[in-house]
Amino acid sequence: MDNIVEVRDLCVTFKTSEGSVYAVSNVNLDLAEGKTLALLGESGSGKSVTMKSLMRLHPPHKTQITGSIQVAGRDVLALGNRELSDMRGKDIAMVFQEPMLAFDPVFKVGDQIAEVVMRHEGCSYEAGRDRALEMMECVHIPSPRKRLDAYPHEMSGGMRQRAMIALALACRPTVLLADEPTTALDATVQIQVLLLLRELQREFGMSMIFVTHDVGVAIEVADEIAVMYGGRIVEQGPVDEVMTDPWHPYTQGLLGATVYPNMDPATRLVSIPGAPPQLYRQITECAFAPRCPHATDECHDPLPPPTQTDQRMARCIRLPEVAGALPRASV
Amino acid sequence: MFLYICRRIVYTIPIALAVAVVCFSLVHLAPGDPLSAVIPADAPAEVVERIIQAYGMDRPLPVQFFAWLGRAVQGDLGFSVATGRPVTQEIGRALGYTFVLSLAAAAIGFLFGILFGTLAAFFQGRWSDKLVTGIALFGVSVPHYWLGLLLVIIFSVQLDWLPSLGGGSGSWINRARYLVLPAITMSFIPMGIVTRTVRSTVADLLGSEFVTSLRARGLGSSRIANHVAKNAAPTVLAVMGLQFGYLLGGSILVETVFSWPGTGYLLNTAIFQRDIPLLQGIILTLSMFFVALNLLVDLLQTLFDPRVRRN
Repeated sequence: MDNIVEVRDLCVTFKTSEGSVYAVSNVNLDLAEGKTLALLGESGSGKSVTMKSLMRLHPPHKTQITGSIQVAGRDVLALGNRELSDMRGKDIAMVFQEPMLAFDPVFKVGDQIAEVVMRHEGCSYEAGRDRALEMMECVHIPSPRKRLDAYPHEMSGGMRQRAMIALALACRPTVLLADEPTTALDATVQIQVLLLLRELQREFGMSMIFVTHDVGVAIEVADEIAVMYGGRIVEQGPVDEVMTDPWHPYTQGLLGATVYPNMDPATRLVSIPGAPPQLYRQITECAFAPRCPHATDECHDPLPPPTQTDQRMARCIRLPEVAGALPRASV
Repeated sequence: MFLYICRRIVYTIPIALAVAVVCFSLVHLAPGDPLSAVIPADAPAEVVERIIQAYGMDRPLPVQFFAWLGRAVQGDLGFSVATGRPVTQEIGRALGYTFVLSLAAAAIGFLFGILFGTLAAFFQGRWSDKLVTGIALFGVSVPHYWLGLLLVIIFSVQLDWLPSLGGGSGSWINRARYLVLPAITMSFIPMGIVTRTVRSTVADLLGSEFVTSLRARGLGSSRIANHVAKNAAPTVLAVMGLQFGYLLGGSILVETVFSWPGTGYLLNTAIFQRDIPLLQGIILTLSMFFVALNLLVDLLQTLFDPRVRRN
């Protein structure tokens, strides 16, 4: 099977006035056609930065990106500005976390969708509006014709996110990046938007990368999962395997701290002590070691190559002995 | 939309009334007898009485106010004590000059302000930004009468390129020559303020999520500039409107430096001559300008920003 997205050894460094921030280090990702990959991790783990790198959306003069990124057969890091903007929104599109902030507040929603269609398909305004209407119907927005002329602030949160999805899908992208698309929504609306995304993915035959910090959401939408911590992927594999048999202590900690489908109702939730690492220096050892219940002295040495099988990968020096050890609270 | 406009217009009525009260009482609260300047110290008591009656100053203040307001609404602001000409005629002539000066200064100031501000926002933190921010800071902090004098010394006295006194007469070109120096002087403050406003507004917008989102949609820089401009317009327009208002108010100092026969110069004369009807007339006219201008800016804002319309 061909991979539509291939990321190799991606490192993203931001230059700030306080020094460099090593936001993403040595990330490898593969996304097969028609599949969904969930990037799971807490705030600051580098998941959104990884996503934005796929479209090169970081401010160029403050960001250093190394490694290689292939999207739909194109070398993203080698593209010129023109080719890059031709690709954005057409081959690869993004749904943002907060649609209120991602829409231009002073343009009508329908016009914003039409604008993208006009840009990529060179069609007339009328044709763009027609496509916008079609897309609004596609994402099940009630009375879509009326909503075309609505401004973003005139819509509810759930409807705005649907409109955002309509905008992202307007030019039939092959890859959809969803950056925590349900985080800003009410719980009931979250499920609707998730189901909608899954439905549209099948309908359009897209591949999707889904960023989330919610284990339950990841289980719901993903085929593959990559768990990020401190700018690195610590564990990667098919979602059902990773969720039933987590190798890395961080994944175990996440599962022990969340409610997810089919869990044993007698389980108590355990939080992970401590706080995520500061990324002002390049971390070569295990970034999770200071918070890890299984940590020994060797965990503070530089990391060895990851433990790998055909389908799975994890970066922990203490594998395989710590694998599958879900934290349990004593009752 | 139509209702909104009507409501905004109705809102200005109490404001205008309050302004009228303030500018009437301001003049009467000031110490000194308004007529002492025109009545000779040795005038017989009955003559003094007659003059006071002629100006209606023997009646109670509220009566004077309503009488004055009633006439003002009909466009009659009385006669200047100093020249004996109708106040409206004096103000009308001065307004013309100030308007021309304001227009020229606004054109220069806004053009460079928008240009510099946009430049600074796009090259934030780099040398061009620092240079432009420096110019803007200079523009708002330098005393402009001093700047005016400096320009006179350089361009009128030493180089002898441009005239420095008066409003000019005769041909268009000759009048324009008289306009150049005061217009440049007056343009510095709006230029500085507009630069700073545009810079901060555009910089905020460029760093905002929706511009990232626009780039993620594959839109080119000209389309993005279009989005940014429409978002920045309400803020920038409001500031430009107010600045134009200040310009229309005339500058007592700059107009005096250049002897430009506008409202500022007239106001200056009226104050020194204690010419009460003229003074009241000028203050009222200028205040009404501000009220009207604010209304206009509000209405323009609703045109650009749909969110304002909601409330």
